[in-house]
Amino acid sequence: QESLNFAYGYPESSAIGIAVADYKSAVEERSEGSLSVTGFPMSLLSLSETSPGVRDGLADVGFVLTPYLPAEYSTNLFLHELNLLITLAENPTGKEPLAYTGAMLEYTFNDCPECLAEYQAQNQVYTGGGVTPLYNLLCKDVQITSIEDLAGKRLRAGGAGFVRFAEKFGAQGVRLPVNEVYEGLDQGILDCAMNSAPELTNYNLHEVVTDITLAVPGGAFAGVASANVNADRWKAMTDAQREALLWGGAQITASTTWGFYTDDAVAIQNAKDKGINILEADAELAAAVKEFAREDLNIVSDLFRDTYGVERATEIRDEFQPILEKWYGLVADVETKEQLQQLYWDEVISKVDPASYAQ
Amino acid sequence: MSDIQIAGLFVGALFFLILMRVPIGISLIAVSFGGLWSMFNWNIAWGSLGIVPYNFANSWVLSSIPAFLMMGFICYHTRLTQGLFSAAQTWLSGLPGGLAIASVFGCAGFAAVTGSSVACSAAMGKIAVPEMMRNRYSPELATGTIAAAGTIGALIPPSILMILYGIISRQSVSQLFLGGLVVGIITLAAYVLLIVVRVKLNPNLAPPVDGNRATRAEKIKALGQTWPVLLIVIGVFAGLFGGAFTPTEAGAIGALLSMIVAALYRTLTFRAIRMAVVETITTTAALLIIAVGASLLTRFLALSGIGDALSSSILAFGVSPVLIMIGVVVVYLLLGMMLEPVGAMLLTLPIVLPLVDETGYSLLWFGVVLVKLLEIGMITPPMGMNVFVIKGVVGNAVSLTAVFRGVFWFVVIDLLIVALLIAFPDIVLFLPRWMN
Amino acid sequence: MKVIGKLISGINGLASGIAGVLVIIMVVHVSADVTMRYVFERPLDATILYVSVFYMIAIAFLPLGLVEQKDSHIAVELLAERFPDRIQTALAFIATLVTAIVAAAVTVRTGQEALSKYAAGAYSIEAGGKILTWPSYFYLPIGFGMMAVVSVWKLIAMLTGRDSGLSMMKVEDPYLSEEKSNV
Ligand code: NA
Ligand code: NA
Repeated sequence: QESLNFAYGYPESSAIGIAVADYKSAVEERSEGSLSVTGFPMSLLSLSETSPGVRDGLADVGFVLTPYLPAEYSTNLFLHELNLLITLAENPTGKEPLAYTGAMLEYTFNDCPECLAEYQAQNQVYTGGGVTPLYNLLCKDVQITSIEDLAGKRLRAGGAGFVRFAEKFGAQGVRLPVNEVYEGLDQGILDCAMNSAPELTNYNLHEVVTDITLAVPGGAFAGVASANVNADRWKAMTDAQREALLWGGAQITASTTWGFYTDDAVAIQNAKDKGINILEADAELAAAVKEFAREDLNIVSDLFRDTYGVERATEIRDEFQPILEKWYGLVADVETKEQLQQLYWDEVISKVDPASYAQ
Repeated sequence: MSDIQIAGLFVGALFFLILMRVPIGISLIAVSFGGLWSMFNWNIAWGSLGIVPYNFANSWVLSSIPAFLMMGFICYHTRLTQGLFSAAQTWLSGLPGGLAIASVFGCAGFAAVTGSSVACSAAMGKIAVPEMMRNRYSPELATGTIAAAGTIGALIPPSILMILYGIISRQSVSQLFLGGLVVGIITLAAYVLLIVVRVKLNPNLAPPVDGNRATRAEKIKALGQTWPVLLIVIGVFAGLFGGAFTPTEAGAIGALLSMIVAALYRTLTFRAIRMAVVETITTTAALLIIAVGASLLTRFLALSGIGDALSSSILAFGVSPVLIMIGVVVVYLLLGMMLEPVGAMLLTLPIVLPLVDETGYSLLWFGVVLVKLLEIGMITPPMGMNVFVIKGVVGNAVSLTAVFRGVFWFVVIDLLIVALLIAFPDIVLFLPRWMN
Repeated sequence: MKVIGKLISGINGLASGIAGVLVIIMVVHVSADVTMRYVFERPLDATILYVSVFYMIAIAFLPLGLVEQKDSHIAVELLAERFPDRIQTALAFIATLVTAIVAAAVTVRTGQEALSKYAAGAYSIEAGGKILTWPSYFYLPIGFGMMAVVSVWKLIAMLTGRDSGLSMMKVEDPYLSEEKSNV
């Protein structure tokens, strides 16, 4: 029996901790007990250490976030940066993150040899992804529904794209690490944080937030390789064991994304129950957010092609869009985590050949 | 040999190296490396050396440590602090150990600004310890007081440890803060009482109380000399609570403010800046190599599966809630000897939280008790980060052993407080409940 | 001996001089960011990156050689100071040897990491564009490397029984030196 250590830089009780528990049972069952998985929440490797940690074998499997290593994962990161496409969905149903996850899986496995090469260069084997829900404005003592409301506000920005968003609307993008957002809002350093709703619970933000504007700035976090396997361990395994890990990859991808998707609904409902105001952008702001998304997609494509070394950036963007459109249809009927896992497995991961993949 | 046995063996080796006067940071790195190598293989051990040091120091929140150190060193080398303690002495002239008591209050004040006890000890160490020693306080009392009083930094909000605990255990951070505030104030009162009693019992610890009480005019005059430090502290407080900057940024603002005030005070010489800077960077480097080593050790212990061993040893204390809690206390005191708080927390919470939940004690209450326990670990030998900070700040004037001797009675008092909290959980819970 | 000792002290002085300048820049940079954000409502770009990568890593590791040179690494005397002098000398030799080996190992490993980051051209994506971060990885092999050099040099001095020639720059106490001048 082979035992695998799985490192993830989140608490055990988080959506990701639950997804890792699902992965463990999926892999152990599918491999008929020839593989066992032990999860290490936070203590073994921090978020920024997970990729090099899996590379050097400190963990056998890890929940890797590509934005921590932009030079090493530039193409993968570019796929994440296209997340503003979600904002442009014509008939939004709330299931866009589920579709984005599927599109990213499909594109990474089938159409993006440079993506897989980037993982290989870090001595890792990609087996799954995952996407968070939409970003909202989580505000304290400030209500934002119009373009004018945004002017002059201090908004927590988790990345360069959010700073561009803030600047576009005459606000300030303040870079603060997520664990300082609570105090930032509490002390008035921030007016709002651009974060997804589950962060209300994950970082106790519901204690300080008074108003939430949904789907502004939009977009989602997709820079996730949720179960990267150390390549040396992978190569030493039997085909059946590798197939079990791929099955686990489908599981953790579905569990992570589904966990966030349902947490989102729960978090927004809890916020309502706690008396937090849930606001919608007015028509003008909603249109401006879409306009920003369209412009920013061009900026991002140019940036990644010219500055960050993704030569195929424009081509990737054009190829990715129809795949995403296809996935909007595929996820329309998904109602459970199990269905989602089966969908990711049937459509993409089952087609990966365990004998030849990542050799 | 099982992984747990290997872990035990290497922890023993760690104690041996440290007692043989191998630098603590070096001992920690060597033992973690050796442990990973023998438990797994060369590649994993070798890999860890490349990953951990950079990623550990690459930290925005950690930057408050050199910043607060710099603030303390600038205040000290530009002699901004000289009025502070004569004022404390004048005002507290009736109390035995007045300066030490004033220092504890000073630390509590700083605690309200900084989120970490290391930053707290760093800022107060250079300001208060030399003043006490010049006033013929025993070195042990002077250094021990500040090292212990620094622990109040993580109890009184803001507190990095409580925020982290709140995230992991899904407890309300603001309620944790309220509970921490109560325990912080209790600790403050207990420390003051301890100093008074100890100085009364052993007059050698502090200079005799001045027979003539200061007059009101003298008191006001003395207060007038404290303006430089007051200005800095008020500036930092006002900015923090006025929403101008975060606790992490407060260190840098404090350091810059102390340079500006020293310039107004006309003591900001190039030499003073140079000395403050040299002390800041050497102290930071000496502390961070230990923190890096402790962080490596945490990975080794996590992989050894020590978690399961811990939960079974806690359960070995019995099944009644109080006995389990005593087991938890003993385990954290032992862990606190070697690990720094964040590592100890990340390593153990996944195992300990469900255990505590089963006992029926509230997780909110446990968060406050846990922070108190982890802070006790900051002053217990052989790995006591607060003690190291004080040692780094005072240099070769006082030995590390003497500082550890100085904190002894404070640890005893701390343990009494923990016992009190276990016996009467409402001490922690009444304020959060009442504010809700 | 003296020349080499002086040379080593000089390099340590230079490395920690850089760290010292960076600690001042850090203080000013963070204060400027706060002022720009709070007073002028225009925060500076990428302050967190500059602080955590370029200042903190330098401040944490560049002074390691100087710390070793000044014997300022924190160690526990508790037991060792009770032994007879000859055993204490032997312990000091062993402690320095362990320090040299560990520091050298970390130097090699962090050096490898720095070279691979250089080869990858590691950068961070910030609002103002691409900021190269690979240079910061070189602070580690420099700091640990100087720590290894100093401890090896101390070992040689102990073995030959000659003065290492390392300068023990002392930080003066403003209050105590003040009192002395009154005597
Ligand atoms: Na505090
Ligand atoms: Na300790």
